[in-house]
Amino acid sequence: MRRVVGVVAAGLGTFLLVSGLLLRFYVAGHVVKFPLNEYRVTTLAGTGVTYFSPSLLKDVTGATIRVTRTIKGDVASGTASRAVWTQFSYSFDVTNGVAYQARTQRSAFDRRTGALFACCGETAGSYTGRQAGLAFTWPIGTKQQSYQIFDTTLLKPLEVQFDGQATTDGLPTYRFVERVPAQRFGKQQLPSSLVGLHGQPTVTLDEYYQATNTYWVDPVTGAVVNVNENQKITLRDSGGVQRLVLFQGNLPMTPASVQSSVNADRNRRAGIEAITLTIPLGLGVAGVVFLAVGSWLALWRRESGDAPAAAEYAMADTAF
Amino acid sequence: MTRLLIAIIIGAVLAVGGSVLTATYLTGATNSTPANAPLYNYGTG
Repeated sequence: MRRVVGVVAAGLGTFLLVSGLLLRFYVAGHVVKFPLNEYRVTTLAGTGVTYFSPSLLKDVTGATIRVTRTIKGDVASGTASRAVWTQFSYSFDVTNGVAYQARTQRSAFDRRTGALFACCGETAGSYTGRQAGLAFTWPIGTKQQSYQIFDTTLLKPLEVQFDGQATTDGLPTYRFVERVPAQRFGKQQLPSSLVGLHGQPTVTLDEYYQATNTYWVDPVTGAVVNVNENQKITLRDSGGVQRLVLFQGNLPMTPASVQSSVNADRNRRAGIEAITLTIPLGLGVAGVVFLAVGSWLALWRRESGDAPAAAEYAMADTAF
Repeated sequence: MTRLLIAIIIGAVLAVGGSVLTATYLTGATNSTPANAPLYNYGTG
């Protein structure tokens, strides 16, 4: 009887041990990645924002701007290694009750590293060229190092630097900062009267963009759980003199959105930690114990005074 | 000894099969249609 129990325990122990190893090194690789079916809505809101309203055709100052971002996964375009998400970003002037801007970004990225690559109809506004760097997520297992992020205004990857550890609503996060010094990224032709220039009906001015964007990232999941965008877009003449402010403001994520992002991330984080650490460790320890005890029970023979057990062992081996 | 080896092999085979099924099931859970969410009326919130 002791030998039967030992054999069963050894089989069970092997099952648990191998399951633990495969869960960590096989199942986790298939499962721990960004989902294809992502759906989330986040909101940024800034007060005292200055911008030029295309609909009102005038400068607006002291406005409260609410930016609502909806990310939705395109499941049909995804694969085992690639996800395609689309973000619709809508900016609304709450103070004056007018829309400010609507933009769409569609990007394909690696489901573990978050790195963008060309695949299937990527866009950033009207731009349809190559995207590179990171966009919606940081890598699963984000490190304390600099990364490249795709800037949708300059339409190129820019460095975003690790700026320290932080706690976001109780969640340990890494803080990254993207610092963009003022740089020209386009031109705009507009009526001279709008910028106080006279003598010709229209004038072409250079568009300049500068920003300090801060991201708080859960290093385990790679999810951005908080963001603060401080941006300034201006029109300057050929002499570099600022003629018009197209946008200037600080847009932090609303506390409700931060809380919502953290809550969603906690579930994902718990899942990743369970499948990569907790469960494999538990299975492995239990497996080793069962295997060791089972093997001992199955193989152990008393040196003396246990003739019945020795006989049972001999008979069992003979039977096979 | 032979019975012990057979038990170990059976345990390992069951673990491999279970892991493949688990991976297939859990992968499918993240590949489904995006979850339904309340429509957001832009500009009203």
